[in-house]
Amino acid sequence: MRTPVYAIIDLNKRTSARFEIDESMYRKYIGGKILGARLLYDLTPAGVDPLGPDAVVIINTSPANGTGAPCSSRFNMTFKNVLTGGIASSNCGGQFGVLMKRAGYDGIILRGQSETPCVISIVDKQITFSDAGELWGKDTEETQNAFPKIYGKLVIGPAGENLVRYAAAVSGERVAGRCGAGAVLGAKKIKAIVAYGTQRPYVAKPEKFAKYVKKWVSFLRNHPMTGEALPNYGSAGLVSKANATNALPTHNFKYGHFKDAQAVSGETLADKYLVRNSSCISCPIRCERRVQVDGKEVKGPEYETCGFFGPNIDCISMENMLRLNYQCDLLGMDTISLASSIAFAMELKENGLADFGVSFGNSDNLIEIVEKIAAREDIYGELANGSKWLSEKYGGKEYAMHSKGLEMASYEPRRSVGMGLGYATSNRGGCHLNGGYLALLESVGVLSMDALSTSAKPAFTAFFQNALEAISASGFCLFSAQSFVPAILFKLGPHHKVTRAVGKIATHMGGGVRALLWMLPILHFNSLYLFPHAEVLRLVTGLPFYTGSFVHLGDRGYNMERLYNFREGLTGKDDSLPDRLTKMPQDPNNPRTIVNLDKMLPVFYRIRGWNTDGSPSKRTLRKLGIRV
Amino acid sequence: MKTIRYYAPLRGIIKKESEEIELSSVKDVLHYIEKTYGKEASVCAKSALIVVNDLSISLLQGAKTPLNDGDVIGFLPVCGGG
Repeated sequence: MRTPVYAIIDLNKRTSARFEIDESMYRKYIGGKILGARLLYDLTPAGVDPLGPDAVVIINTSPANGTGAPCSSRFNMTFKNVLTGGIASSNCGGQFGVLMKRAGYDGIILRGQSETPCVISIVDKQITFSDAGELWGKDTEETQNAFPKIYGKLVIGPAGENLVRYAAAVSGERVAGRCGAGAVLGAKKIKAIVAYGTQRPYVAKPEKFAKYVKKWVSFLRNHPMTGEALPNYGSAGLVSKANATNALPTHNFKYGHFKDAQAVSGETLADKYLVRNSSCISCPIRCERRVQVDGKEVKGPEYETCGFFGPNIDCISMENMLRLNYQCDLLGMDTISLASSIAFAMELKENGLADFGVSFGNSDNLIEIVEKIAAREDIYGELANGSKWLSEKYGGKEYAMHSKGLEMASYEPRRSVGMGLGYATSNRGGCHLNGGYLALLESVGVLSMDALSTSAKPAFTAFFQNALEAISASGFCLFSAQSFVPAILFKLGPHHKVTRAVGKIATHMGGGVRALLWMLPILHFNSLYLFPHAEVLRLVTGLPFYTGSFVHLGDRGYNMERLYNFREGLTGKDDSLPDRLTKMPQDPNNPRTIVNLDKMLPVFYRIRGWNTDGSPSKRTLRKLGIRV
Repeated sequence: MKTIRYYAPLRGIIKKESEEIELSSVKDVLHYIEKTYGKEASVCAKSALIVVNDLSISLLQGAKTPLNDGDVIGFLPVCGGG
């Protein structure tokens, strides 16, 4: 077994020290966001300012990163969330993580604040500092072009420098988008971190690993979801699916269906704009869209961007969207929080509460406005604070579409109520992935549980929050988990009686999933059809990871993050959604089209082993082996 | 008149992006596809996400969903993940 090597970097003194993670901590927390949460809890006092000198930023990898396992290039950033004040983990598929690992570090911990803008270089175990000089002020592309091509880079753009609360960090064309990852680097005056090395990642059982990887790659390539749908349409393919089930946020989540959604759908993107598809390192799925903007080939938009710069602001211009997507990458901004804040500002204007010069149905002036937001110019500096901040100043809290301060993703939870529970309870705020992503089973996948029923949703949400937590912390892209829906259901289709029957049964399987959560200790097997990630983790680390212990790892991570949130002042009361979703039915003639949190939350807390106030109970912490 | 819109993978079999038809329900359209384009196209059409005016037929009346003049029937690829 090999324990992870980290460097602690003191930006005040511009020094670094190498250390190994303690073996018992490694066994319990493994890496990525789960180990990140533990380290952040231990290394920072309560109440620290996320943009202040005492804040800590952890950038780390996971055991599977760089090993060649499918979809395993993702690295993680953990820090205090700029938008929520709770935990933040931001995940990115760029090359930086793999190159940092090859340079000899599984993670770095950034402390203090540089006096002047700086660049950190991590090359063959050596960590050096230099002044950012003229790079400060440059966009993310120009900044990355200043370094050798073979380097892994993690940089910020003007938005991060100007502490836009939802600024992103960018690696290649991949983005650690959420929670203000760019802002926390900007606050520390870090313009870029670059890494290069040739060290091979550790694999405990290399021969078995190689065989299993081959099998898994073949499985992913032959599955209708990961072998056809995602390569052909990318995540943007979801626009028409969400629209078909009234789950596509439209007009700042006021509605769930947009009559012109096809104009900004994955199908239109593929038919008229797609140059080719591409991928992250070691990914057989290849969901990335390559498109042209002003004659230049760049990364195309993901589903969230299509939804938020399209139907959610009543716009149908794909050209504007492609340009906005590229511009956000250059400036270093999260498209979800940015576009959702803009939609909120549009509704403020509609209701006569504030005027930022943005209106529903018009995306022509957004290029200019987005530049101003990144620069925090004039009144646009207020849009850089996010929708929660805006609603506290101007009103409209009932339609400020965030949870805990983080803007929700592009799934209308009144047509996917389990997703609503996930948004409300997600540790990092309104995030679909940290929330368990039940939308996939309720409204946008082949299998459709009753999207309006609250039955079974608490159990499914807890299970998938844990599972996705473990997959992410092991270094895998969550798309690699989409093959768990049996291929046969795709062949039969969503309207076939068998598929519908499976969805119906799942709607009433809450008891079964609860039993599964209790049975984790005896789920001593791994399956290619369920969580192949667990088997890869076992072969890479040499530690006894099986389906049960893998999901248990996710449970530990989820509770660790929850503990951090409670320590920072968030409580069960923050497990909430705006009134638009909980009190105003999407369909005025159907009272079921709301998210009934009052009904689901107590059940969810019980399943998770949390107290009635939403805090993890002592018994639960003991069961998970968490000591604080 | 109603319009059928085909998307991949069905489009690859039928070799058409869209066509105009005069049929009265989704079930009739499925029969029409089987009769006109064969078994492979029929299997593919039945496994697609079928929408009428961009709404899933699951939210309407399933295969019995009636079609009116100007309606658009779409056969979308099933996918998920964002």
